[in-house]
Amino acid sequence: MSEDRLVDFEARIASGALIEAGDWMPEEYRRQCLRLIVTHANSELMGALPEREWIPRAPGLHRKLSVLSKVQDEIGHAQMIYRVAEDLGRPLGITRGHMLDDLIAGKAKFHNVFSYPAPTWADVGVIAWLVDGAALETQGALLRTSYAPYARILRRICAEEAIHLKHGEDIVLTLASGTRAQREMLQGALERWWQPLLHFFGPPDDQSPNTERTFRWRIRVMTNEQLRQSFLRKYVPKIRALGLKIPDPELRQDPASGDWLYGDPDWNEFWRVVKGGGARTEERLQLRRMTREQQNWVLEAMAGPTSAA
Amino acid sequence: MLIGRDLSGEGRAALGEYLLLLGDDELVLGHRDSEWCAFAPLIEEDIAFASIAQDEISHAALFYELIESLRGLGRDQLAFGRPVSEMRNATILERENRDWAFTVVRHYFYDVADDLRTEQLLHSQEPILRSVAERLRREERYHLEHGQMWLRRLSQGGPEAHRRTQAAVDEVLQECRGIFHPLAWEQTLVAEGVLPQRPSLLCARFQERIAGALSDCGLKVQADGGQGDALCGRMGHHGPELTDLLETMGEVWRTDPLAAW
Repeated sequence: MSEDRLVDFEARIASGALIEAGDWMPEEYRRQCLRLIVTHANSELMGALPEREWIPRAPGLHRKLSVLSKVQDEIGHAQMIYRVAEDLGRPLGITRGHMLDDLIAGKAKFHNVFSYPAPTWADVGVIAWLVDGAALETQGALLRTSYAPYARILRRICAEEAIHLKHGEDIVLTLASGTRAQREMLQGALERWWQPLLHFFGPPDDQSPNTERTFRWRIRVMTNEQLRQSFLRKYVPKIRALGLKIPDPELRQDPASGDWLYGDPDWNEFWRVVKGGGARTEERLQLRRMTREQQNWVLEAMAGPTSAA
Repeated sequence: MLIGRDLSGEGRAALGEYLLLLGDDELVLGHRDSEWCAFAPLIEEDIAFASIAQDEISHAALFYELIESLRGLGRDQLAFGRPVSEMRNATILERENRDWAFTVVRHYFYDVADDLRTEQLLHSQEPILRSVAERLRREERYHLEHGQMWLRRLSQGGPEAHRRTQAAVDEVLQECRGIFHPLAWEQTLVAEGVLPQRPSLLCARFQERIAGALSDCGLKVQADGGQGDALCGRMGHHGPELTDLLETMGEVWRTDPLAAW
């Protein structure tokens, strides 16, 4: 019986059909989707932290407003994506509370890129332009995922990310055409973020934990390397056009395939960060823990006077 | 449309002072609001407070632009380039956020004060001020509703929440009166038709409305003990919390005030 269902399910996917929350799905499909979606939600929430540090310090009222609005969007994305995850997790007994508990306990993954410090204002521009640019590659590809509720929410998220890209590009352009100190600050930020950007798309395909089934079920539709190449094709020329120097002497384009060949971006560092050893991983999780502890009385008050004693 | 075109020199100076005070209140509180972004008790409140902060900071920008057309100082220069002694915000707004109860109570009290103040602007003989007041009031209505909802929730949310909320009321109320501190140039604004009456006279109505809202929530107004003479932000007297705030806010901008950022 369940064999028949599985055959039927795979036939639907192969025909291009989309899976809705209430449809039958193999438990492994549910778990894989859930892992992907929760990691995305966690990343939006944790991703707000490095840029958030710059809201109080943004130079100019216009910048203050635009960083604030961007961080607000990221947190809004987290909220929407957790809702999609909750629907998926319900049959497994997994709630948003569990997801947030796992996150702050350091048991859940969030994107490596949000484990790095953002020490200058130029980092805010580079994050919004290039990290959001990288995210848009990944999320743009996921618009074709087979899990329909996720694809729907991604359409809205991608539209907002495109605005963030413009915000980031505007900061970067302003600095690139600014004073010498501003240009140096920008170059420094690019040097800090280049390796994390290559890491962003995950390890080379032969080391990726994504199984053949992930693609057959169309949970994901593009491999890590395909996404990385798509990013490099778009952004390497743009970065160079600004007069910035990409910190990779081996970077060159293969004239035949158009693929970019790049120096080894230290995959050991990548795996170290995946396992929770990023420069700011613990500090940022600690911030979330502290927030939870300090604000817990508010949640209790909202639960009502009887349970708040 | 020009602002202050029909005013005397003295009238324009008084209007500049009033706009500065309004802009500084909104900027400083908006900055404090923005500090909650990502650290509020609920994801929904991260989002709500980020919206409120954007409203307040946009309002500050609007007041600074009006000053720009009166005096020719750029809005970022006004926001980021003044020493603490030139800031005109009420001191209650510069206080650090403390806890959620303090945040909710201070914001709600300020929103009530601002409601009275913008209502007064609706009766200005300056058409720009009337239209600015209309825009502000459309947005501020939601802040008031948001504050009322939280005040009720916290005051009725069990012993700890109630205790914290009452403590916040006790701490905030006295200093909030500083929003309506009487100022020498107020009479000029009335005489030249910019305002229908002196803004400091709104203090009595403010206290009535706050007393009503608090008693609806089972909260008390402390007998007028007073905590001595509070600093008067309107005269440029501020505490170390504003110095820190301005240092942080201008950290990048001040490295090169002439550069484009």
